[in-house]
Amino acid sequence: MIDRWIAFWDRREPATCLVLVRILVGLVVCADLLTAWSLGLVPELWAPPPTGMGFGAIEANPPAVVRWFGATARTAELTWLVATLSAVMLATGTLTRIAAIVCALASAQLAGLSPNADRGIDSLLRIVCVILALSAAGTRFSVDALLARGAGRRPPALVPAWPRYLLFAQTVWVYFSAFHHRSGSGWWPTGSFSALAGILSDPHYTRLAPGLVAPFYPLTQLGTAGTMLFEGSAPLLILWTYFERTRSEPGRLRALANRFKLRWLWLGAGVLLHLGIALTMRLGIFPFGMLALYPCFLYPDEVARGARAGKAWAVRAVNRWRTRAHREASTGPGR
Amino acid sequence: MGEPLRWGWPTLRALLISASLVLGGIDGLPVTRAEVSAKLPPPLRWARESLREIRAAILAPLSFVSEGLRVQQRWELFTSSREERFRLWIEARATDDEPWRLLYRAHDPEHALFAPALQYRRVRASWNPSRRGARAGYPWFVTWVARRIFEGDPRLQTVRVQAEQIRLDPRGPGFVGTGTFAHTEHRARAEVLK
Repeated sequence: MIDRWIAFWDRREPATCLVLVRILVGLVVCADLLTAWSLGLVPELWAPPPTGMGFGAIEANPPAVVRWFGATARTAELTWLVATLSAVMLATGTLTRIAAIVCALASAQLAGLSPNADRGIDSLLRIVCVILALSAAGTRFSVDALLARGAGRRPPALVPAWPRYLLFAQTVWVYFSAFHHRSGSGWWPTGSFSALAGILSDPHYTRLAPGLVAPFYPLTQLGTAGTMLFEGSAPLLILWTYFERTRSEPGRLRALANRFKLRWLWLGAGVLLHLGIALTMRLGIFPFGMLALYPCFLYPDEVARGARAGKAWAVRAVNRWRTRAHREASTGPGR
Repeated sequence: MGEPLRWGWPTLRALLISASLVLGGIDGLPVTRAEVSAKLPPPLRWARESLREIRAAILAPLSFVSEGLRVQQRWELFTSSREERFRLWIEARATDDEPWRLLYRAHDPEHALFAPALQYRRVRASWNPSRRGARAGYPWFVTWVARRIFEGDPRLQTVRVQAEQIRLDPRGPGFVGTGTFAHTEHRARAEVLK
């Protein structure tokens, strides 16, 4: 048993999924920080009062950047700049491991400067950055890989898979933890599954016009129940994934799970949930930050198959478009 | 007797990963909030306190990681589903005799001054009250938004920021204002633009 456990964490696979998570997480963090800048909130969001909202800088135990550089707007600006640059470096895979660690630390300093401005998704992406720093996520599609190739070093075909497994476990835990912390009755049958309708009617969060929820109320109840089922069943994703990867082995539950494609149903529900959140609620990067982690649920061969299918579809679409354009040109009014 | 464990990097790594999973799980254990705990019968309250203390003792040696990175494993996303919520109002006026002029009201396209900045998730987190009341940074948010308003219009002398208590009504108009306000803060030009 222990040997199998050790062997599990010693598995290797192509870096594809980790690379995708690295690029997407880097882009999401970068987009969020640039949004703050484009709204004129840098440095005000993190600058110490009374200039800004960064009250963490004047508390008894200020973050390290304040101890080193003082409680000033310049310190906030510098921390934002380091966080943004490191996110760009993470996305592009430039000094990947260092960039990931610096991104996590700079984000933590921003959290210390303005504690209210730091949300759960920021905390989660910091954990992800640390795991990425320990991984080989920079060995493909990166500046690091280009430089290594220039120096005559080939990227490794296989890299340790454990960082992806850990990201998998972390993401599953986020959903399950959210599920068992839901104390409001609106999330449960006792409260008629009214929670989602409530959030969609809350003027601080909704993108929908007032009153738009009413005709779809039963649908929102279904959505609430579905969200709870999705989050509560998150740990089962581990089982569904295992069953799918061992489909040739016997077992009734395995056969059923594979027959009904429970793994893909769960993943599809997750994508729909986050896209739905992005379309109907103002939650910033939360849905995108979560979706950025979804490649960790896939195996590299599945991503490769998906990429091949996508490429074939794109080629067919371009060919169809070319044929149609050619036909229209040859039968056009000029002829 | 099975084969003895071979020590090496794979074994050590598996051990470290296992430890991080266990510690993450302990950190993520759901423990009821203090305000909920106060309503519990004494044995349950004692159990809760004991659990908190044991967890704190186990995690203490690694607190530098959680504090340094500001991370934890309890993910509380939209935990509450109460119907009583708030709606932010930002108003200003030039003199004390004038009526308040509404500049921003949450989800009101006709009063949407600085709406993109105010609705940005990190800023909203400073003004959106939780069930425990106003956020710690709320007074500083008020000062910040008042400064923006004063800088944009030299005639305005006072800014008022408050949260209207509303009642959610998803089966009807969405929400209904109660006309009662909370977390009311005023800022005068002289006080903000010293």
